[in-house]
Amino acid sequence: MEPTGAAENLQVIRTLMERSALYRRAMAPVMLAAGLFGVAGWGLGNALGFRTGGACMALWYGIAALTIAVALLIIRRQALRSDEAFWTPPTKRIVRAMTPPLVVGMLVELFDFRLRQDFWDGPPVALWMLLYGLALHSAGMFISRGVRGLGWLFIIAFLAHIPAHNYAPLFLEDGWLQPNAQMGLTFGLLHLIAAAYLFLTERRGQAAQSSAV
Amino acid sequence: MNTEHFLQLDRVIHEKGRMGIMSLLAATPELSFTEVRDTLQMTDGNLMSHVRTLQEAGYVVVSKSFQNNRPLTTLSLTPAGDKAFAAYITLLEQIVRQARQNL
Repeated sequence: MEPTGAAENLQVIRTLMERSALYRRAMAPVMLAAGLFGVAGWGLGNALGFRTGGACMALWYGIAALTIAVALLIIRRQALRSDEAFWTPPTKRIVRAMTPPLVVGMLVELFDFRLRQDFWDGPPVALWMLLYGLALHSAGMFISRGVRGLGWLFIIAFLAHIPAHNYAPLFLEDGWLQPNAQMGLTFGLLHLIAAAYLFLTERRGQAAQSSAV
Repeated sequence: MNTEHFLQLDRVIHEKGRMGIMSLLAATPELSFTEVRDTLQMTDGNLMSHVRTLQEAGYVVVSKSFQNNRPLTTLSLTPAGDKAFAAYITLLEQIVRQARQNL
């Protein structure tokens, strides 16, 4: 064996080990479902008048629960189709990475609402964006593409929220500033943007990975 | 150049297909047969043949279970396989290092 062959073998081993540790399920359908639920929730909140307060909060907790349930079903279906286990080590890594920020976000929102009772606006919604963005960013470390970028979009949304909260009233109507609209714009539209990006890139990425083996 | 390193390379692992299987399994506690097959783009027969060789060497263990009434075959490294793969990588690194020193 030539030394160059040894170096090539080491490179192949590194590539395969990295790939083995990555989560391989297609994320585009999950993002699409989350985005559609987000936009539907935004519309439902407007139609029912749940634009702020406890009803709005309950609506979005319901949408979050529905999104998680549907995401798990989509992932399970993908696993069954490929004769693979659902609860794989990469899946466990992602759940572990996402859990702390999501649990903190849920508890902070609940405590904040309990303290303030009558509204769910301003910092709590922005904080949710930040923590969800951090959860996606952490999970993105174990997913080949796209999810970390979506995490950054939520973090940017959090950063943009501070000036938007102060200056947007100058040129936007009230409805756009209420929590229901903020959730629809972030949870709904950002997931749809991620879904479009992933639909366009996942197939190409898989083809490139196959040819690299 | 010291040829001793080359002779020490584990012949069971030092084959493209089996090295691929060992690499995948070294990074995760277990993988399904289909995941390994698809990632390495092998046929069922080819993969099974390599897995059998690795099993006989005591490097890989094959577990069969059922998931939703469908059979699920998973592969994982044994402690001996883990150790042998680590030794194989160390030897490759030594070969590369030695080649660099001789330049």
